[in-house]
Amino acid sequence: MSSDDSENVKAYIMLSVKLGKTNDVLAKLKQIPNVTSVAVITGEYDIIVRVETVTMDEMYNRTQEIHLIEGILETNTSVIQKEF
Amino acid sequence: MIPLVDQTTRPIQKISRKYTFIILAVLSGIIGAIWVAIDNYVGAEIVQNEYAFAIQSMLIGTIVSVLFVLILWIPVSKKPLENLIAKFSKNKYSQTDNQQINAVDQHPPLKKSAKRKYSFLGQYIDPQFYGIKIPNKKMFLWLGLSGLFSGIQTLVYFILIKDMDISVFLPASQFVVVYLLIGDLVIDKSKPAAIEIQSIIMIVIGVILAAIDLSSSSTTSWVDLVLVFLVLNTSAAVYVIFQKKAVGTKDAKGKTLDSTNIRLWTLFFMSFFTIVFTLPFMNSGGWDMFKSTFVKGLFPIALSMLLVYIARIFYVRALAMGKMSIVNTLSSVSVVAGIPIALIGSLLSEAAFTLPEGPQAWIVWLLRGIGAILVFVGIVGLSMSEVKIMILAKVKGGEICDIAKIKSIPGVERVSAITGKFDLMIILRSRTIGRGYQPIVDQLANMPCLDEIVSSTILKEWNA
Repeated sequence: MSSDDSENVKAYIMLSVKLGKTNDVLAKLKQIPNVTSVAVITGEYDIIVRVETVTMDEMYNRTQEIHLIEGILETNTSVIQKEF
Repeated sequence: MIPLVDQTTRPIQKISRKYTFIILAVLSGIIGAIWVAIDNYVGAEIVQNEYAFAIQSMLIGTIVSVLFVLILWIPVSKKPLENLIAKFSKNKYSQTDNQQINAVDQHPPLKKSAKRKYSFLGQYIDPQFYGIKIPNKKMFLWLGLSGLFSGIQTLVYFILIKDMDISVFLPASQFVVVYLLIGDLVIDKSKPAAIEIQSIIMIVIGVILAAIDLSSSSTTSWVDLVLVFLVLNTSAAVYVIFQKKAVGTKDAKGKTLDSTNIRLWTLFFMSFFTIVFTLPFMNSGGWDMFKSTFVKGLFPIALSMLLVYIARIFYVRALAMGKMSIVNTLSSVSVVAGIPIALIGSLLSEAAFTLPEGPQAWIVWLLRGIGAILVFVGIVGLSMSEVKIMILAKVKGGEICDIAKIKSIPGVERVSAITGKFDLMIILRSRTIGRGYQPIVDQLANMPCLDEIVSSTILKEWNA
């Protein structure tokens, strides 16, 4: 039987994107490891990304990768403390 | 601890969540029509005793399905093997926790080689699949109950498929949608929206039109119809409810069981109950038929049961993404798919697939065509109406929020306590933006612990 005994670090990262750059940003986000969901949303932010990593260090690396994507204006990371 | 596989590096789906949902449900319906056609042929031409056919199908089906799951478990990347070696390697385990963390964290920023890959073959049809898993007690309960009602449904299915025309059976068995819609409405404590009523009426009328046959000498009796509407559809509805419960049940680590495992364990229970319910009806003639046709029926039954397995994986995946009634309504495309399948089937066996004949045949084909169009339009209307909404909420200082109360609001899918500007992230699903959305938001706004609520509609979503 397979095992999965990790307690992952999860976070939502909300992104504001430069006009006309949404599709390019989406394509790059989909390639980043540990990104489990990408969604285009209405409201203050344009995209929300769910990231799940094994360690906080890894989470830091993933957020850095996201920050480097061209077309992203602003990010807001919220680490998930508990899920119900 | 190093996980056996990193579940977060599988590729993000190229197709958005909404279309994935529609494709899964529709595919399960189309494959469903093919397997019913194969069963129709086997029941008419090879295993002519329905009880012998049921036992043969369950035995062959269980073996074929287990072999299929083992094939799905074949690694397609080096990752599971590397992690397995790492897990059992003494050297790696003697390292400190920090060293283990560094061993896992090997993704430098924007590294070109960091390509997302599936770990196992089965992930191409079920991305959540990471090998055979043992369900927990609660999951076992739901899967066992699913298997029980599926066993009843299967026995009735084999009794009906022997006599009933495929073009009548497929539409008649879709009435489970009406039962499920009522169930969804009761759970949501809301009235159906106009688009839902309109779509369901279109689908039901389309299904009835596709089923009308003025020309063929159908052998359908009133007993068969009672069996379809009172036993088959009812047990199918209860089966779907328990499957949905199994899909939503989480283990101690907060993880749900994947569709492949859910189907595998349901199949074990279903085979057991079907055989138990069938045995009292088996006489010496039935056993003789069982023995004499076992080898001849092996290939078509194995093929049919394999298709059942694949269709059910798609079905359970769709069930995890949407409402029970909508999944079943989308799957009712099998009625439309049954028309070309019956045409092709009639070339192979006229006994198993009877086509409309005589001067009124053109009317039957016209009605079937109109029925097919209505089903398609209804499906599109129903599937496009569902919306997913993200709500960010602040909790008042000095207040403790009762998360269980938020979670109990119909439509709330997930509640996450988060850090940052807001305290809670609430994901909710509504059948339509007009019908379900506002009452849910109103209920959240009335929660005394919540201070500020910001909602965003999810326009398009892709998942790993």
